[in-house]
This record gives sequence, C-alpha cells and structure tokens, in this order.
Amino acid sequence: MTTFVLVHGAWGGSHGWHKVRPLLASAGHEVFTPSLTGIGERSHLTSPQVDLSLHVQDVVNAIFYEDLRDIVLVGYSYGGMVVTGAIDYVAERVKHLVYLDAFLPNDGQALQALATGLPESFPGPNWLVEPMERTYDDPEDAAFSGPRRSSQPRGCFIEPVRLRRPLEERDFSLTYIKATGEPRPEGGGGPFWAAADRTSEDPRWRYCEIATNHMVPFNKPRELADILLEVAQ
Amino acid sequence: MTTFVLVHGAWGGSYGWRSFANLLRAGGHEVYTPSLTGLGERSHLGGPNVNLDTHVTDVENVFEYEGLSDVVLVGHSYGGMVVTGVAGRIPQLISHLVYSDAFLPRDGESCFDLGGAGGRDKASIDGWKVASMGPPLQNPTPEMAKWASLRSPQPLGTLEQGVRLSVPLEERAFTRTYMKAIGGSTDDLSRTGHFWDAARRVKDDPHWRYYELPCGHGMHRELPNEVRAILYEVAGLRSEASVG
Repeated sequence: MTTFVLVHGAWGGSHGWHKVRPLLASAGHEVFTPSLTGIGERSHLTSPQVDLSLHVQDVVNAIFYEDLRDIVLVGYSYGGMVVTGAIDYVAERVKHLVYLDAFLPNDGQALQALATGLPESFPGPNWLVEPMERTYDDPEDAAFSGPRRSSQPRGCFIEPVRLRRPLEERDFSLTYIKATGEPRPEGGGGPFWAAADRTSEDPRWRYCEIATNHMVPFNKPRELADILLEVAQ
Repeated sequence: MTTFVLVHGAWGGSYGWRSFANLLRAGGHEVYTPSLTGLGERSHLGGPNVNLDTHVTDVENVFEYEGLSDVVLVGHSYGGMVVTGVAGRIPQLISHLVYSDAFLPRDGESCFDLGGAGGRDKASIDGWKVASMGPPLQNPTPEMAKWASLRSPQPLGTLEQGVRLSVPLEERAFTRTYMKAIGGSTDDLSRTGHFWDAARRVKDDPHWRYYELPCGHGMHRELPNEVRAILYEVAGLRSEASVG
C-alpha cells in the first residue's frame, strides 16, 4: 500500500481531485488531499495573511499529524510551489516527488517571478487575486469546478519559496508530468513548458506527457492515476 | 456505496479517525474526516476568532465543495456540537445523523453549557486556548501515547458559542442515532455527565435509535468493528466480516 498526498492548484481545493482519488483508493492505496487555507472548502478562512508559508504548513502538518511516510507527494500547478516549500521539512518522508503541470521553483523564487506570459496586472494590487479562466473537456466538469473556484490571497504568489538543498540532491525520485494537449505558445510557452524543458533531458528526472490542457485531474484522471501508480511501484 | 463524514472531538484531529475511516473505505465507501480549524493538522490556524460557527462551516463546506448528499454524518464527543450545527444548516444533505458518545445540544446551548472541558468555571483557559482535559492515560498503548502527544489546545470560542438549531432535530427527515460508551471513565460507571444525560434523553424516544457499547469514550478506536456494524445497520447496509 502506498500513501499519496495530492496538493491542488491555485483557486482550487481538495475537490479538484475527486475523480483521481477513487482510482488510487480502489487500487488499495491511501490518499490525502489537503485543502489549502483560504480557498476551496477552506475559503471561509481567507485573509491577507494567507501566503505560501501558510500553505506549506498546511501540507507539512497533514503529513506530520497523520505520520505519513514513504509518500508519493504530488504538486499540481501552484501546488508545485507548495510541495517545493514543504520538502525542507518532510524530505525524509517522501519517496517520490511529482510535479503535475506545475511550477518548479528554485530557492528564493516566487510564483510571480516564474509566471511569465501572464497579464501585466497579475497578481494585481489587491490582496485577492481572481481565478484565471479555464476550459474543461467535459461540460459537467466545468459545471462542477467553475463555481467552486475562489479568489486566492496574493501572498501565495509573491512570497519566495525556501529550498535549502536542490531537489536533485535528495534521495526521492523526481517526476515531471506536462500537459501537452495545447500547442506550445510562441516565445517559450510559460513556466510549465520551461519546467518541462528543464526536466525532460535531465536523467535525474522522469518526464511524462498527458495530451490534454492544464486541467489534467478533470480531463484525464485515468491517465494521471496510471502514471502515479507506475511512479509508486 | 455510502458517503460518511466523520467529525472528531475537542483537542483532536482527522488523525483520530484514520484507521476507522480506512475500515469503512475497505467496504467501498467514501469517507471524509475534516480536521477542524485550530486543531490537529489545522492547529496552526487556531486563534481568538475561531468559534463553533467556524467549525460548522469547516464541515458544511466539505459537503458543498465535494458535492455530497445522502450522507451519514457522525459526530464524536465535541463533534456532536458541530454536526448539530451542520444539521441545522444543510439538513437536506444528511440521511443519517449519528452521535458517538457526543454532546447533544439544543438550540442556543454551548459546549460549556453542557459541561464540556469541565464547564466554563472549571476549564483551564489561557487566553483563547482551552487546555486538554481528562485523566492521564494509564498504561497507554504506543498509539494512544502518540495521540495524546498530538492533542492541541481547543479555541475558546468553539466551547463558548451556542449552537444554532432553528428546527429541532426530531422534526427533520434524517434518522437520528446515539451511541453511548458504557465501559470507560468513572462517569460511564456512575452514569453521570452530559453524555449520560443525552443518552437518557433519547433512549426511549421513538425518534431515536440508541445503542450502548462496552468501551470507553474513544468508541471507534476501541471497538471499530462494532461501531461499523452500528453505522451499517443505521444506513441499511449489508454487514461485512469483522477485521482485526
């Protein structure tokens, strides 16, 4: 039995994994999907004080309180910032670290610095940042996910991550999964393509692709679960 | 497949349900065990603004965001305060409401009113933090000792604030069940304290199902197979072979 900890993206919540959880659980594994403070089911706890450090603590505490070990830790999109920040605290409990179409920051980088190609106003002057528009293959997923997206505190996007040792020097395995269903935009293609470029040719990384847009956990849950199960083996 | 939402007690966290939740999941069911704000894995979010409403919203939002309905909602101990508030807000999403050696408040009553944490006058309060109570563990198993070490202070507002329940539970469409532990603390043996008061209130009321189990307060940890059997009976599920 493997323990999966799945960390959702910006403006999302634990519910974003609702199609993936049963696929892993029915294979006999234990799945934790902590909701980050201030968004999703925890949106009643939002405030200007919510930042990346708080989300790192959300995930680190879930791991410590449940005393999880030999984890497959997955960060999706903004969740890549969070799992990167968690590593200093939980490295010895992680067996496999997986980025799913996610930010892959180095020490000291904030999401804002990586998010090239986003509007100039991102994340804007206010403490809350409104969700970006997303598209889904299935209208039912759009109807489920759309109304559940909540504005996210700006501190999550402007606080630099701390990572005392490069990921590649750790004992856990490293995987990057890129969503490739949309053509790569002109001029580089933004942070997830940059991360794909960094990891696809590096022998210390396993690199996989799933042919859909960014909303992988909704659009391709079976393909995603299969990759995660393969990583866990 | 049935959906269960399990709400932990004061000073606790999601971790206290883990093995019981996995027992239910092994039967093919979906189980949610939210940690309440300020407690357990959410202890970094404790503060003077956390109150019973916060905890009710913690659980209500799990229903709303996960899109749950026809839920078996279980409150353990202080979790009885929380599930009562949830039942007041979203009764239509609950099919079975279960109290596990839990507080059973009426409209406006707080946990302190019912003697929780020893009551307002006896509770050990430091600012917004109410210290964990209960006798020291005698001969704790390693697991019990670990749980004891994880207990976090309970935010004062969660014990001080009264629950809002505009319609009595008995007038709702969901079924109601109370499980009483009868073999643990001195309160259990002397049949005193709020949990016994609650038991006496519902025992002969036809609106309620009532069960007793020969164990201490942590029923789902001490007798998981028996508690599961009760939940299955309440939810009309076929029983499964016991585990362990």
